[in-house]
Amino acid sequence: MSRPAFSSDSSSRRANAPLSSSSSRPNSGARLTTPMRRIRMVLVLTGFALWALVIVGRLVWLQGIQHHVWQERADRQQERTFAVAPRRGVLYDRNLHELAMTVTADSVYAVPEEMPTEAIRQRDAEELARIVHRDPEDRFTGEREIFARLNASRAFAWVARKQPPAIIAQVKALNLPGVYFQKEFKRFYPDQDLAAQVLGYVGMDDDGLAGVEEVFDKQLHGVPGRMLTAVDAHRHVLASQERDPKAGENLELTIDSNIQFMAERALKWNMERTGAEHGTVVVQDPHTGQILALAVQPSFNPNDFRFTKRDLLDDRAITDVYEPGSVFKIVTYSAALDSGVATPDGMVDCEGGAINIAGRIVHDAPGEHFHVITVTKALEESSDVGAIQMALRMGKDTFYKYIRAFGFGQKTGILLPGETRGLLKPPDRWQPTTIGSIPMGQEVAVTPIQVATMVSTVANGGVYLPPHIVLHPHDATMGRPDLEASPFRPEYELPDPLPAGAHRVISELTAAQMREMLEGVVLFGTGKAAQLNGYSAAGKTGTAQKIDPKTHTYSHSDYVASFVGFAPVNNPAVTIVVVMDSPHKGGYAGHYGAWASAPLFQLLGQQILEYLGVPHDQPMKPARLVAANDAAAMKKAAQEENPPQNLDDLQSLFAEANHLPADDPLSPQANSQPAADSGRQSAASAGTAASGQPAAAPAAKAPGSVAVPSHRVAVPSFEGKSLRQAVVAASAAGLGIRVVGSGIARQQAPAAGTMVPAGTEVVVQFQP
Amino acid sequence: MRRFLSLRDFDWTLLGFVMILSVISVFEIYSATLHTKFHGFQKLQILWIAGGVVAMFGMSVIDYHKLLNWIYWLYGFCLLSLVAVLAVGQRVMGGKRWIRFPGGIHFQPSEWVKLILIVVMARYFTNLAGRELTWRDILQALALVAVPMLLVLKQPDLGTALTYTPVLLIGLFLGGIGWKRASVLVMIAVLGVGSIWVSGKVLKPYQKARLTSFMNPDSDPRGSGYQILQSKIAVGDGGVFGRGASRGTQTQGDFLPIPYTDFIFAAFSEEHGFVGAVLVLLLYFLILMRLIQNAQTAADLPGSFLVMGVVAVLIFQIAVNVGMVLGLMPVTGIPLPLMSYGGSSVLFTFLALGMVMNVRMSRFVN
Repeated sequence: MSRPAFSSDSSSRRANAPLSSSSSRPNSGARLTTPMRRIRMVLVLTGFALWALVIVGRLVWLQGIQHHVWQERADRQQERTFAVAPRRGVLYDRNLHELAMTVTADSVYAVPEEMPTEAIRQRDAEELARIVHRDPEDRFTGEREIFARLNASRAFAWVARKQPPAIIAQVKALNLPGVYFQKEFKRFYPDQDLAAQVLGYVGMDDDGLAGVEEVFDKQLHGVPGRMLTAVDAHRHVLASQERDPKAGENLELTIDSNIQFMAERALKWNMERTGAEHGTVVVQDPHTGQILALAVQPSFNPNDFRFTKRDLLDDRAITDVYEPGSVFKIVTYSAALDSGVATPDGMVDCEGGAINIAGRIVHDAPGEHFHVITVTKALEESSDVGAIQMALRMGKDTFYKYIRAFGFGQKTGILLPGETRGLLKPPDRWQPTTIGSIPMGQEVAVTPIQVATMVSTVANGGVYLPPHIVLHPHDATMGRPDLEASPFRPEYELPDPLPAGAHRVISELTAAQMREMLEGVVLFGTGKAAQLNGYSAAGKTGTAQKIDPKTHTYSHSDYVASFVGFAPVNNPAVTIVVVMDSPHKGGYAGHYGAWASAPLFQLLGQQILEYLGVPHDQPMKPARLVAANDAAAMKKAAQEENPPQNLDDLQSLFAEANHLPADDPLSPQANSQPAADSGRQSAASAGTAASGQPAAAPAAKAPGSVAVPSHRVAVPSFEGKSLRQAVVAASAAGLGIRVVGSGIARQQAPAAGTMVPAGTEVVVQFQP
Repeated sequence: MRRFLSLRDFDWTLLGFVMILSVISVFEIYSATLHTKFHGFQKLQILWIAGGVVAMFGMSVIDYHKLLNWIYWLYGFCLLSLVAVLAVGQRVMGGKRWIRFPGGIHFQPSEWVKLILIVVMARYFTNLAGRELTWRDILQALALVAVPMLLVLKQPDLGTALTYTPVLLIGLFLGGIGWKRASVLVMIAVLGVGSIWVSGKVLKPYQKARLTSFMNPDSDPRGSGYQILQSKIAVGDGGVFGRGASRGTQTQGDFLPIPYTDFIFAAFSEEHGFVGAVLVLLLYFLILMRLIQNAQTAADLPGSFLVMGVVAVLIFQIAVNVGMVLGLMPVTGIPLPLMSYGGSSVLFTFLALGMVMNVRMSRFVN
């Protein structure tokens, strides 16, 4: 076959061979140049080999050493990764009623490449904005903004996100090329503004921005899925691979949405009644620290939070501090009793209503001139001098120790964002006059949650229980797919062992004494407007001048009127804190907790206890007597004291529960009112009466029905009603309701149409 | 003089290497066009190769001395055809390169010119054999190549025109150019190209940018640097063993431009990695070694020149194409012989090989 390439014999043979070709010239010089030529041929091959080596080196560089760099570049241009949003976890109330859920909504986006010219994009932006730009303050969907986004990207631009179906239909009708629709998850709060400040809200990308949504964002949010798409040079999708998103975990709150609803409804009514700027109601289970309701007014709708004023979004129950005023005397007296410097029946010298503390004269409320009275009486009458005397007896260090133990000056650790710890100076920074201020709730700033927890401490027998909003905060339920409804049943025992963060503040005896004394406040003292029908109640009023943020002095026109209390006295089911900020109706007395806040306690406490089915511990006071005897007088008083109010159903509902105004002539303590308090009290009565007045208005209890032999009412039919509607209907009829199950009302006992005494509890079976 | 050409003397080893590369080519064209509208080109390529093999055998029985005798007539005819292309040629992608005959047959004369030039140079330098080339010899050779080259440049088809230069160079090199004159020629060439470059009259800025973009393709990744960049990504993405046949994402995703012709080496390197690329290079080396061996053992000087002319064209095309694919040289549009899809290219290669076969078989005659 082939011969060795460079063998000398072949070359010489060929060199000698005559050219057999017909080439025109003899190869006379071939002999000389042939070896050179052969060398040059080898040089050509050598050159190729050297080049090949360079090429191999280049391949090593590109495919070996730099391989990952190029691979990354290849991946980057060939793959598109889309995040697939996870479904956000549901927020349930304790009865597994959905407070926040996730639904799907359509979003509109554009592929600007398919809108070839700027003129087309301009026109499209204009047409789209005309439909989707509904709120002038919404910056996202303005025509200019849409146009800018269309010009910014070639492949993708949002037009408007998470739009309602009507808008989507309109956009679809435009039939614009390059405009597409995409389903996205949208957070939905089915009860609109219910518990808005607790729940918070989420941003466009489902990030929790406030409330529970923010604090538990990590758990609720879930893990986004990924869609990995292989695309070609023309962005056509060749293949895709998905990693499913992991849905967020569901969370069960301690909120009872029925109680929450009652609290908000009552608060709205009271806001209107008092003309307050803000109002806060906290309902807490004193034996566990669980928050059953946390209502803040004015409120907002988290479905539409972007169009809400910024200052409405805060949860004032935990972010706002205020000087508690006389409410703080609960701390003062508890500390005094517990440290042994006072007994309920011991005497205290109120010095005729004025005391000199380091040169500053502290006066009791105008007209109060007590001298030596019992400690109980001093609390009932809310004597400032008496409270200061208690503190003076203890000394500031002991007093301070109790204040801290009650949880003031520190965060409660409730899992809501923006909690403030309040203001509490340590004793070494106290001014000489401070001992004359703190006992009556000045020079100390607290949050409604702190106050509620303090009151619960007295109510539950002396143990501080950290408040909480999530039913199982320590991963117990997280990850457990099925939550269980945990309807609230009033406890009568403290948990054993005590949960983390709990500690005893005062002895059980002290707590019992305090409960009795605070009951006295409601029975005989400043808190008469808080009396319930059929239940004992205990509490304390408080009125504090607001500190003007500009001048740092006490305001002369703005007050914080609060009432704190619990019921029933001996086995408290709930603690209720009412804080009304700057009430402006009701004249002078309208600033006082007794008038501005106590009636709310009365209304709400009655409703909640009946809703919970707490057994009555007091004889029911017949409503007909109230109606028969005082209807006319109350109507008159109401008209004098208050301009006509909107007689919406809230008020009528309130009226149902408000069978016994504080100035009921049957009330034994009516005559024993001290002169000083009578001013407030009459104002309070007037207010309550005003709200009581519509009692006669509802059709079910038309004026004529006053003559009906008993205050029996017909049980309405609850069938087919939602929980909310059922509660409303029951309240409107003056009946209690015991909810069983969830969903739609299916069965009830007693049956519809049965005549039963007002306040009777109707058991309603709900089924999905 | 009696001649006996025997298929026993045919270079079956060379044909074996060539066929291996052809099979690789068919598979890679299949893979590279899998998801494109060009899918099915591998079948056409098989037809071209089959035709090429037939043409090769046909060519191998034509005595190359006859070619040498007729060559100036052929040369004249090919100049005419190039003129014809400029006159009546089909305009495709901005250049008149094709003559269209009735029946849908396209003809690209510039490919055949290569073959003619190889024979022209063989004859020309054989006549000068034995003495050192004079300037007159050199200029005459230059003129012989320059005329068709300028006609092709006019089409314009820079890539094909450039492939004529190795024919001239190998002729000069083996024809006995002295080192001194060679040095002067190189200097003139460098100065000439340099002045053209600097003057800015011949080449427009965008053409310059295209020629230099290989040095920094990232400076214009979507424009002039796109092809080189995608090619480098494809090669680098291949790694050691490649992504697998028809699994090259650069190739399949249409990121790599014309992966079945000019950038077929990138497509192959992506799918078969370093191992595959080196194997192909080795095959080319073996083919060239085999060809040079045939040149050395040729019965006479014109036979040597013919074979070395083929070697020169192949080396030039391989070097420029692979260099381009790996980002070492500018994009010139020169296909990779035996790999790239294309009838003209395949037929030229096989005809050239047929000529080589004839040279080889002729040496055992007598």
